[in-house]
Amino acid sequence: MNFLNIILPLLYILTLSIYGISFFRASTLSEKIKVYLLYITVLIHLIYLIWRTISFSHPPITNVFEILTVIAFSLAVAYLIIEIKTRIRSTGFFILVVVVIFQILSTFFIKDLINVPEVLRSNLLGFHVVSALLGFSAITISAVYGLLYLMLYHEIKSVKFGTIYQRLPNLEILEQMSFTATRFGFLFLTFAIIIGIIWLPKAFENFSYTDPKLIGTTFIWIIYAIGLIANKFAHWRGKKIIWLSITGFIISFFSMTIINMFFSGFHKFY
Amino acid sequence: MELLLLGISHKTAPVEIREKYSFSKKQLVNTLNEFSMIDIIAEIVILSTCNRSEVYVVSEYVYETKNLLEYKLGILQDDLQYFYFLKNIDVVKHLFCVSSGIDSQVIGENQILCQLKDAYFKAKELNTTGKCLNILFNKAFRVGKLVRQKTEISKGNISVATVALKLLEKQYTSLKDKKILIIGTGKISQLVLNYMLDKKINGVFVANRTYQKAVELANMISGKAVMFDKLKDELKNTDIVISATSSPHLILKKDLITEVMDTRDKPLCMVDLALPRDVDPEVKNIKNVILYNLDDLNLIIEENYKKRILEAQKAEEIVLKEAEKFWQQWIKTSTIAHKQQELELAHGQVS
Repeated sequence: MNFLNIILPLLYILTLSIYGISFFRASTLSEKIKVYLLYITVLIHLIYLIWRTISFSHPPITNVFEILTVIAFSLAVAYLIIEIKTRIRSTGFFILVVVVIFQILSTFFIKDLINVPEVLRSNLLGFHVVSALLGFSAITISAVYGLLYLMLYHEIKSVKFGTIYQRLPNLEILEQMSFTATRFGFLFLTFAIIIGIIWLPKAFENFSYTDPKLIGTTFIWIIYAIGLIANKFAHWRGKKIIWLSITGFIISFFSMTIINMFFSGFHKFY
Repeated sequence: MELLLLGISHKTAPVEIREKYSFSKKQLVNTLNEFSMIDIIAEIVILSTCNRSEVYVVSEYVYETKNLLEYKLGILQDDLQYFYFLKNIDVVKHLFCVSSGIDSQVIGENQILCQLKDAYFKAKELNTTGKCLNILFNKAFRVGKLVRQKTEISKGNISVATVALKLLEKQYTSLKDKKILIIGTGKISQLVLNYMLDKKINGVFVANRTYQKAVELANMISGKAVMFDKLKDELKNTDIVISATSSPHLILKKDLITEVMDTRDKPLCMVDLALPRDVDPEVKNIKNVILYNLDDLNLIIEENYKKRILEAQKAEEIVLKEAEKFWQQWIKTSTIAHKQQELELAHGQVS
C-alpha cells in the first residue's frame, strides 16, 4: 500500500491540472470532470490515511510530514464542501496548489514511525492535534481566498479584465469566504490551545512556556483575535483584514515547518 | 406556391431611405388588409422595425407580385436599388437569420424576435396568414431560440449602462445594500436608473446642478435628490458614484476625492460615463478608489461584440442547416399536396 504515497501527489497534480485547464481555458470537458476527479483523489487519500493508521497503530499526526498529508487531505475535503455548498467552482485550482505542495513535501519526507513515544498515545493529543489541523486548514483556505481577493482587487484597480477578473467570484464573496475561514480557523486554534494548556504540562516533564512552537501559535492566535475584534468593533473590512489573514498564514506555516524542523523544544517528536 | 420577400434594411439602405418605407401601426394594418383583398397574394406578413421593413408573401405569380408590391408600397425608381427581392429557400434563410439576430444591426439582440412575433400575430389576427406562413414563422421562432441556446450570440453586455453595472457586480454581491450616487440627469443617467429599477435597487441618490431635475429622476426610483453643493458630504458615505453630466469641465477633482477618502476607510467605486470626463483621471491613484471611464467600458463592449461576431458564424451554420432541412420538408409536403390536388381533380373529372 506504500505505493499510494507515491500515487497521491500524482493524482493531486492531475486534479490540479484539470482544475487549471478549467480555470484558464474555460474548457467544458474539464469543467464537468474536475470535481469527480477530486472525489476519487480524496477517497484514495482517505484509504491511504486509514491504511497508515492501521499499519503503524497510530493516526498519522506524530510528525510534521504525517501532519502535512493530513492537512492536504483536510484542505481538499474542506474545498469539496465549499464547492458543493457555495457552487463556486472557479477557486479550486488555487486551493489545490497548496494541497499539491503539502502532499509532495509529505510524500518525499515522510518517515515510518513505528515506535511512537507513549506521550503521543493520549486521547487528549488526538483532540489537540485534530483541532490544530482543522485550524491550520481553515487558516490556509482563508489565506488563499485572501490572496485571490488581492489579485482580483489589483485587476479591478488597474482596469484589467483578464482571466482572473472573468473567472473569479466578486470581491465581496472572496472577502466573505476568507473571513468565514478565518473565524473557523480561530475557533479550532482556540480549542487546540485550550486542550494544549490542559494536557501539555501533564504530559511533558520538560514543558516550557518558552517553547518556540507554543510562542508561535499564541502569536498567530493573537493576530487572528485582533483581526476579529477589529472587524467587529473597528469595522475593518477589505484589504486590511485580508492582509491580516495572509500574515497569520505565513507565520503559521513558518511555525509549523521551520520552527518544527530547526528549533528544539518539547513540541518535537523526532 | 412561391415564397417571396421584398425588403429593405440597415444593411442595404441608410436611415433617410429606410424611414420613407417604414410602416406605422395603422399603415401596417391598412396595408395588410389591402393586400389580403388581392387575388394573386395568398398570404402576407409585414415586418417593420427601425432597421428593416420586409414583406413576406406567398403567391403563385412571382413577377406580378413583385411589381404589385413595388407599386403598392410606392417605391421610387431611384430607391429600388436599396431593396432586396428573395425567393423560396433564400427567404427561409433570410427569415431564420433575422429571427436569430444574425442580421440585426446589434448582432444577437433579442428584441427582433419579439418584433417578428408581433408582426406575425398581427397578420394572423387579420387573417392574412395561411398554412405556409404559419409553418414558416413558427419554425423561424424555434430557430431563433435554438440559435440563442446553442451559441453565445446574445451573451455579453454591449450597452454602456449595463456594462457599467456589470462591472460593479464584480465588486459587490448585491447593489441593494449599497449607497449609490448618480450625478447628472441626462439620457445615460436615466438608462442606468432604468437598469437599477429592473434590478429593484432603491437606495439611489441623484445629484444635479438643477435640483428639480434631480428630484424628478430620484422619484422615478424612490431615491433621494441631493443638492449639488452638498456633494462632498454625500461622498463621505457613498459606495458607488456614477457620473454622467454634460459638464465641459471636471466635476470631481483629485483634491476633493482625496479629502473625502481621508475621512473614510471603505473603498469608493467611481464610474465616469461622461464625455468630456467628469472625474479627474488622477483620482484612480488614490488609495481605495476604483475608477472606470468610458474607454474602460468600451474595452469590454468591444470584447463582447467581438465574441458575438464569432458566435454569429456558428449561428449562421445552424441557420443554414435548419433552412435546408426546412426547405426539403417543405418541397416534400408541397409535392404530396400537389399530387393529392391533381388526384382529387382527376377523380372529380371521372365522376
